[in-house]
Amino acid sequence: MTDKERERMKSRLDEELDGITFTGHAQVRNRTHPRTWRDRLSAFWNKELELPLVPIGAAAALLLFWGVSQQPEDSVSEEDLRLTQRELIETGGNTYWKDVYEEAVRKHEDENKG
Amino acid sequence: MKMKIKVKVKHLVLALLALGVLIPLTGKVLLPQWKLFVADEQAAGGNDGITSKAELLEALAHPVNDKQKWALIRNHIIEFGVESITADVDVTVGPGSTQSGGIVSDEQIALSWPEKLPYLEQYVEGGPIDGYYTRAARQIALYYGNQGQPDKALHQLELAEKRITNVQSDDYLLKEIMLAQAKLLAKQDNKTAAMEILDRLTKQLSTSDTHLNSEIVQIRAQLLMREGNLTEALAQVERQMEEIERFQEEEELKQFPDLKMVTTEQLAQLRDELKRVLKQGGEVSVVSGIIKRSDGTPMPGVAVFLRQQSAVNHSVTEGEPYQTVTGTDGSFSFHGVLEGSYQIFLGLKYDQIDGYTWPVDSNAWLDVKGGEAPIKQTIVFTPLIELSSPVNQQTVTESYIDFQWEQTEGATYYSLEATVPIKGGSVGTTIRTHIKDNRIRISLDELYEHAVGISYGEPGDWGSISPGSLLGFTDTENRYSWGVLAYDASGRLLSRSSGYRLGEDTVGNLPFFYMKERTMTEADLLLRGGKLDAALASYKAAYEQNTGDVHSMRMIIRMLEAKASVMDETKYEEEALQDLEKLRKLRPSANVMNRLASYYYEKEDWPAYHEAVDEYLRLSKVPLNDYEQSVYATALMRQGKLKESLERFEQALRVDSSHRFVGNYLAILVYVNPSLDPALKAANQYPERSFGMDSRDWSELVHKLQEEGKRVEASQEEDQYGTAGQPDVEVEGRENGDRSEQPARTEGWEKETVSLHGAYRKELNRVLDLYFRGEEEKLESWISESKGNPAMRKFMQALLDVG
Repeated sequence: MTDKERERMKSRLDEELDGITFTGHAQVRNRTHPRTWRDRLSAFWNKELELPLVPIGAAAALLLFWGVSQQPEDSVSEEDLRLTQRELIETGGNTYWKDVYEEAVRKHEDENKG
Repeated sequence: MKMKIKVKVKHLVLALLALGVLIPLTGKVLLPQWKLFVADEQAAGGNDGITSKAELLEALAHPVNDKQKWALIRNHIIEFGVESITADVDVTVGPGSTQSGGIVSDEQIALSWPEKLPYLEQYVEGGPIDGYYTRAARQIALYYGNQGQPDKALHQLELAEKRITNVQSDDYLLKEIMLAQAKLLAKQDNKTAAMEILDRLTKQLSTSDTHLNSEIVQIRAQLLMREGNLTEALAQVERQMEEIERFQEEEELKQFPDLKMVTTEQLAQLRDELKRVLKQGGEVSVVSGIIKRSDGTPMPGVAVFLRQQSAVNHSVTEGEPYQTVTGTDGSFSFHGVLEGSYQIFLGLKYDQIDGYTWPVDSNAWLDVKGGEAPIKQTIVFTPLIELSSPVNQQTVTESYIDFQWEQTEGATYYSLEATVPIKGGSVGTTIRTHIKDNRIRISLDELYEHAVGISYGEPGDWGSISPGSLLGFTDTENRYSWGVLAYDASGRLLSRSSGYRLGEDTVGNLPFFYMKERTMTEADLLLRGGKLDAALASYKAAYEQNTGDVHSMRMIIRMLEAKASVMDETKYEEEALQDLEKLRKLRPSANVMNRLASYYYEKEDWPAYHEAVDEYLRLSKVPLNDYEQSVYATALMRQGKLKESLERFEQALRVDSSHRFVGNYLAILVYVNPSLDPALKAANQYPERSFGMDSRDWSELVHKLQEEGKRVEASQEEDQYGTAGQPDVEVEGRENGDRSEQPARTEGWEKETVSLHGAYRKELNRVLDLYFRGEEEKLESWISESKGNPAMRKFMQALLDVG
């Protein structure tokens, strides 16, 4: 590019930018060198953070897991099961709750074997 | 490459904030709302997805809106609640019967009263007025009533009454609530208040409310009965019955010709009872008592049912007149009890009966006599007896078992029972009675010899006999169980080992054991496999080979007897008898002699019978039981040894509370005494407790016999002398009031004792002779052919039924 060409481009640019006036000096200065608390806040507010994905992801997963485990149990508790679905059986002249009876029989069968 | 994300602080903060709001919002609002929505949807189909108590309590504690709350209370509490004493029990125990109550629905979540009471009260305060509403109020009223807080019960019913009146004028609901109030007040013996409500209620009722009207009349009648005003009670009941009949003819019968309401039947029963009692003098009595544990702890909240003789064959129904619940001190009482025979049944919760038993004789009757002193009952629950050995599926390989159990305080003797499991159940049998100690050694041979009741499918199909019931205690693979009963010196049951063992602390030792001492024979295995004919042939072959084979001979007899009874063919019995005689020589035992005695009794071979009985008494370790005593007495009667027979009957009747053979005793008394009074007195003293449909009222039969005899002989004397002949009259105090059919009898008549000695007496003794000699066919044709003397024929027919 010759000097002549450079000059022509310059005059062309000047011509095109003729109607534009830069008035944002103050703002730019405030951003680069904040003075008021408002400016500082705004600077902080718009600050860009670079977060490493792996530790953040791990933390989020942990949090999610904790959250789920804190939810009230939806499944039926053992006591409830006993209350709602217990069955009576009559055997050997006695009446037992089926679960208690079967447990006792299992226990004695093991004892008799051992 | 390290992965990183770029984010501005403001976006990060906003995102965190959003999460912070969303999570609680989801948990606390959105999810419940969603659940509610689903619940509402499902509630329409009767299923809100709540399956556990925790879920239910949570949902009840935090309902999203009233609509959901009422739905939860309705579907989970009111629906499964009860409004009557009868329905509020887990187990019903009566003399000789125990019934585990109520059907427990799979969907039911059991809430305790403290858990559900506040919600029911909320429902009564603000719930929608419908059929569930009155149920809620009545459920609370029942609860408070049973808790001995009738004021609170009444308060709830009054609250309900007010709300129904204010909110909507549903007549039927209002009437239901008022009826419940009246019932409660009647139970409190607050006659004035009860009557006031009943009057108010009656004014609002139309004749079409037959069900409510009948209930009202029953309450009124009961109030009147308590005052002893049976005449008015009967009048009210009869009036209502006419009303119902008229209404049914007019209205319902047109649409439902077969319709017959339960309440009508209850009323009819009450009417008949009132009529019967009025004939007998029309007096009522009080039955009261206390229920406690053997350590003296009172048992509150036990339902008590005083049940008439006609009712004990079926389970307790809501309409039965005498029902109550024990108070905090375990006491109960029934007022205005009509004269008659009753049994007490108890309704218990599982935790009340767990580990305990109510030792009651299966023939425990309360004979309520009008105008006599109140009957007081003390009902004591005793702890179940703990078994020590053999237990917990122990295997016995010795030739004996040492049975041992916990001692019962005050017990004089025990009886030992054992059960044989068969397909789909078990058969029990008494092994030994009158055991003095809390332990006994029984030889396995005694158990092997012990036949148990046979179980079979179809009569006539001997292949359907359960092999297990034939093998009895000889199957080495079977798991047997045992138990004991404890008695005091007077033969009263004190406790037993079997019952409800529900808690982990009450389960105790399991009463099971195995016997692996013997080796199963080829025939045994065939029998176990259900090949009955092959088994019998195999046993016979084994015996032929070795005539000392006791087991095979026993099994042959057992199978022949089973065959005879299932096929109803006597030829097998003959065969069994011959084999029994062989066994008598091979190995005589009490059991063999007992069987022989019963065969010879049936054949009326009296010398052989007495020989077998004598031999039995020599070999047996226990005396004749009440049934065998009665059979013995009957055998004496059949031989014409009336005096000896009378003595035997007297002994037997004292111990046999069913008085099953009292008819024979009465027949002899009628025969040997000039007057029928001794027979009448005995009939009153030993009422027969028959569980069949046709229970025999011997006092009425004898009384009618006496009346007929008196009338017939008086008219014959009149014919003879042409004047009004006076019957032979002896004056003698009568101890027992008889059950006269004529209400208007005179004082003077009651003191008469009439001896029969004319033609009527002759005829009576002739037919009694026929009966004693066992000439049943002649007697039957006399009953059907002779004319006149209906009372005599009835009496003889009843005797034939005794057998």
